[in-house]
Amino acid sequence: MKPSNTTPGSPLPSNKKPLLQVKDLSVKFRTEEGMFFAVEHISFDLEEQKTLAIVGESGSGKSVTSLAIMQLLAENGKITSGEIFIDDEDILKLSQRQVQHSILGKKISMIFQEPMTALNPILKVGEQIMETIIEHQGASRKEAYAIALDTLKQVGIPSPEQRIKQYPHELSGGMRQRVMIAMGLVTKPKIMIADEPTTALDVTIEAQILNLLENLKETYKTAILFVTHDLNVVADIADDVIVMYCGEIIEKGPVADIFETPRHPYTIGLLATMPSLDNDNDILPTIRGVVPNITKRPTGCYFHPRCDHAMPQCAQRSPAVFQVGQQAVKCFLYEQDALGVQDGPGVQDGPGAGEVNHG
Amino acid sequence: MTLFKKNSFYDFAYKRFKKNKLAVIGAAVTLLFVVMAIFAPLIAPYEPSEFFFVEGQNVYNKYAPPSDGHLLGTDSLGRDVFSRLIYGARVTMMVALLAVSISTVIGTFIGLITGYFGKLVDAIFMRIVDIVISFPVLFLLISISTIMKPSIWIVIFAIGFVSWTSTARLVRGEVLRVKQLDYIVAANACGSSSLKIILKHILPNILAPIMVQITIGTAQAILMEASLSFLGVGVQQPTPSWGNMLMDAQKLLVLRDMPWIWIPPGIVNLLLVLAIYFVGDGLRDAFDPKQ
Amino acid sequence: MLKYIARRLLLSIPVIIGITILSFIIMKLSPGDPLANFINPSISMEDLEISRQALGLNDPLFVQYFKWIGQVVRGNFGYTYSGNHSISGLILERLPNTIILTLSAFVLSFVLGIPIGVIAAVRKNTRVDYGLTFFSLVGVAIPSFFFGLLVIYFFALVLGLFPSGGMINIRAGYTGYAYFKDVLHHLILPAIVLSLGNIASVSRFTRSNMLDVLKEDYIRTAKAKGLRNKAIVYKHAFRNALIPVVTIFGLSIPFLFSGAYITESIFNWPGMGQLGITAIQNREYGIIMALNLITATLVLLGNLTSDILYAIVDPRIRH
Repeated sequence: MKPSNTTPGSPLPSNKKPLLQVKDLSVKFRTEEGMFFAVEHISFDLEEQKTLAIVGESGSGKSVTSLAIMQLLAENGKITSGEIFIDDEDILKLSQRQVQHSILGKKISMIFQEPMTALNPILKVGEQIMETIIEHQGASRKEAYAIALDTLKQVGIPSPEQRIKQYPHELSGGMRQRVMIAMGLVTKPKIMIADEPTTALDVTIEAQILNLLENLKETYKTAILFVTHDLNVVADIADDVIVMYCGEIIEKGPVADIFETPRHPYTIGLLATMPSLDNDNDILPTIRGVVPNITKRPTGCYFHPRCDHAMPQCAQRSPAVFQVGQQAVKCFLYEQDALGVQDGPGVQDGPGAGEVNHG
Repeated sequence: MTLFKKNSFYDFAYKRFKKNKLAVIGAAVTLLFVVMAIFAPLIAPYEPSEFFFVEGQNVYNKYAPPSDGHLLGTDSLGRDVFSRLIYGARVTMMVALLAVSISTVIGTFIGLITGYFGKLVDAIFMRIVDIVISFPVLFLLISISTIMKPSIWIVIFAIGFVSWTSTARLVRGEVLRVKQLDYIVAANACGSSSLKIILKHILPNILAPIMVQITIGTAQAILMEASLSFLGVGVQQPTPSWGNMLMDAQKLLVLRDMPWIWIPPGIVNLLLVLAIYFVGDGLRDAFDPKQ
Repeated sequence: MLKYIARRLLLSIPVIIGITILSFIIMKLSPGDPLANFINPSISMEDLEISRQALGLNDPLFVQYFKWIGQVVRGNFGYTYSGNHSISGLILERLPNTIILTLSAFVLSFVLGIPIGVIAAVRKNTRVDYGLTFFSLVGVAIPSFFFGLLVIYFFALVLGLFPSGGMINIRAGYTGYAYFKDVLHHLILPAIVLSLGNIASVSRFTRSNMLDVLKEDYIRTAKAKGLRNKAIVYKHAFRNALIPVVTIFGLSIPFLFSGAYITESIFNWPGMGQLGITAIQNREYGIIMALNLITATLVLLGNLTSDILYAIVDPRIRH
C-alpha cells in the first residue's frame, strides 16, 4: 500500500457505505495573535452501528472536530477546507437553514459533556425533548408528549410521568445525562455524537450510561462518534479509534489492534499511562513535556519535541500517513516498512519501553 | 478572570483597549477636556465672572448674541458664555474627581471588609447599603445640600457620600469571587494576617473592575453635579458650572430665543460624559477576556 | 418559594426601620427651629418654653423619634411652616400625578428598552448594533434636564406639536375622554424625557445579558437540535436573558423618582418632584423629609416586588 500524502482511506475495508464521511477537514481559529489551525486534514468514515472513538488530550482538536461536523463552532472558528458527507450529501454546501431543517437533530444529534449547563434551566425537560419532535416531525404537542415519555422510559428514567414535568436542576447528574440522551434519540437519528458524555459523572453512573449507549446503538441501529480522553472508556465501547494530537489524526485503526500493538510513539505513551487492574505499578508513567499551545506548535511533526524516537527530519517536515496492517500511522518510523513489518516501537519490548518516563 | 501574570494581564488589556476605536476617541476627548480645565486661564478670553457693558453706556450687555467679541454671546448678567464654559470644565472635573475619590475609598473599604469577613459584618453593612439605595440619589443629595449651606465642598461630599454603594456592592462581589482562588485559600491556611491577605492578594486582583467603576462613577458624578446645580442646590453663582449655566433656560424667553446660552454647556456636558462612558466600556471589554 | 418571600420580607424590616431613622436624622440636622416661624416678639420666653414642651422638642431624641413615627404611620407628616398646610394633604394631592408620569416612563423603559437590547444582541457587531448601542450610550450620558430642554425647544416651541408644560389645558375645561386625551397630550414629552435614561440602561443591560446567554451551553444544545433561529433566540435565549432584567424593575424606581424631580420642574408637571423643588426654595424641610420617606418606602416595595417576580420567573428559585 502506498503512503498517501495526507490521509489514509477507511481503516476497515468494508462493503457498507459509511453514514458519515469526513474528508480533509481543517478548522482555523482566530485569536489575538492571528489565525491558527485547530484541526488539520481530518478524514474518517463512520459506518452504521459502529462506534468510532476520537481520543486525545484537551487541545488535541477532538471536540473541535465534533463541533465542526455539527457546524457549532464558536464565532472565532471557521472551517477552511474539507467536506462532510451525510447520506452522500456534503452538508458544508447546504445553507444554514437547510442544515437546521434537514440535518441537525434529524440525521445527526449530539450529547454534550456537562448535562447541567447543556440543558436549558428554565424549560421543563419534557418541553426540551418535545420541541425537537415538533420541529422535525411536525408532530402535535400531544403526540410529541407521548413520544417524549416513551423515550424517557427507553433511556431508563424511573417514573417518567413525573420527571417529564420537572426542571433540569431537580434531577441528578446521571438522570440529566439520560435526559440529554433521550433528547438526542427522540428523532431516531442515524448518527450520534457523544462529546465526553460521562466525564461529569462518577464511575458507577458512567458504567450505566455507557451500557445504555451500547444498548441503544443496537436498538436504534445508530452509529456513534464518541469523543473522549479516557482510554478505559474507549476499550469498553469503541469499534475503531482515532488518536488525535495537536489537531491532527496521528493514528487510527480497529480498537483491538491499537490496544494490542500501538504504533505511533504518542499512542504508545498514551496507552502506557492508562491505569489498569493488572498494572500493579503505583506510579503511573507520563509522557514528558506538555501539549503545545495552538499558537506555538513546533515545526515538522508536532510530537517531535516530546518524542524519544525523534529523527532530524521530524523537526523539518510533517510525516505522511502510512498504513501498517489495519492501522494508519502518521510517523516517519513507518516510512520504509509501511506494509506489515513491525519494526516500530512496540509496547512490550523494543524502543517503546523507553517511551515513557516514570514519575 | 484566570490568573494571568499581572503585567501580561495589563499588557493584553492595553492592546485590546487600543484596538477599540470608540474607547480611544473617548480617551482623547476626555484628555482634551482635562487640558481645557487645567489651562482654563490661558484659553478663556475673559474672566468667568467679568461683567460686560453695552458700549458707551452704563448698562450690562445682557443676552448678547454670539459675535467676534463674545464667541458664544453673553448671559443674563452680561458675562462671556465661552469663558464660563471653559472655567466650568474646571469646576465640573474637580467636583467629579474628588467625589469619586470619596465614594471609591468608602465603597472599596466597605466592600473589602464585608466580602472578606462576611457573616455579621456583611449582614449589617449590606442592610445599610439597602437603606441608602432606597433613597433616590437626587433626594439624598437635595436633602444634604439643603441642610448645609450650599457650597462646592458640600456638593463634593454629598455626591461622594451618596454614590459609594455601587462600588461597595461591586467590590464585595469581586472579593467573594477572588476569595475562592486557590492561592488565597492557601495564604489563609498558612496563617497570613487578614490585612496582609486583603492588601497583598485580594486588592491587586480586583483592581481592574474598580478602575472600570471609577470611570463610570466619574461620568455619573458629572451628571449628578450638573443636575444639582441646575436645580439650584449645587454649585452656586457666580462660580460657573455646566449645570447652573442652564438654569436660565427655564425661562421661556431664553429657551426659545437665546440658544447660545444653554445649548453649548449642554453639549459639552453630554460630550464629556459620553467620552468617559466610551473609555469605561472600553476598559471593561479590555479587562474581560471573555469578550 | 413561600420561604423565600418570607425571608425577603423579614430582611426588609430592618431596612425600613433604617429608612425612618435616616430620614429622622436628616430632619433633625436641618437648620432652624421649627418654632422659629411662630416666634413673634409678644410671646415670652416662658411661653415659648411651654410650647416646646408641648411639642415634645425637649424630649430625648429617641422619644421624639417614636412620637414622630407614631404620627407618620398614621399618615401625619405635620404642617408647613408657611400657611400651615397639612403636608400629607399636599403630597396626596400630587402623588397621583407623579405616579401617572413615572408609571408611563416605567412602561416605556421596558417596552422600548428590552426589544432594543435584544435586537442589538442578535445583530451583534452589525451597523444596527452599533447604532443602537451608540443611541443607548447617548441616552445614558445626556443630562436629563438638557434633553428635556431640547425636547421642549424642538417639539413644543419650534414644531408646536406638544404643549411645553403643565398637565392639562386649564382654560379649555375638558371633561371625560377629552380630558384624558388632553392629559395624554401633555404627558408624552415628559414621559419620553423621564424614560430616556432608563430605556438606555434597560437596553444596555438586556443586550449584555442576551450576549452572555447566547454563549451558554444550552444554546449550543438548542442549535444542535436543529431548531430555527427564532426558537433559539426567543424561546431559549430571550427567556433566560429576561430573568435578570426583572431585577432592574426595582432598581429603576429610585432612578425614575430622581428623574421626576427634574422632569416635573422643567415641564411644570404638578407632581411630588415639583412640590419638592418648591420646598427646597422655601426651605420646607418637613415636606422634603416626607417626600424622602414616602419615596424610599415605595422604592423598597418596588425592590421587594421585583425580587418576588424574580422568584416567580426563575424555576431554580421557585423550588
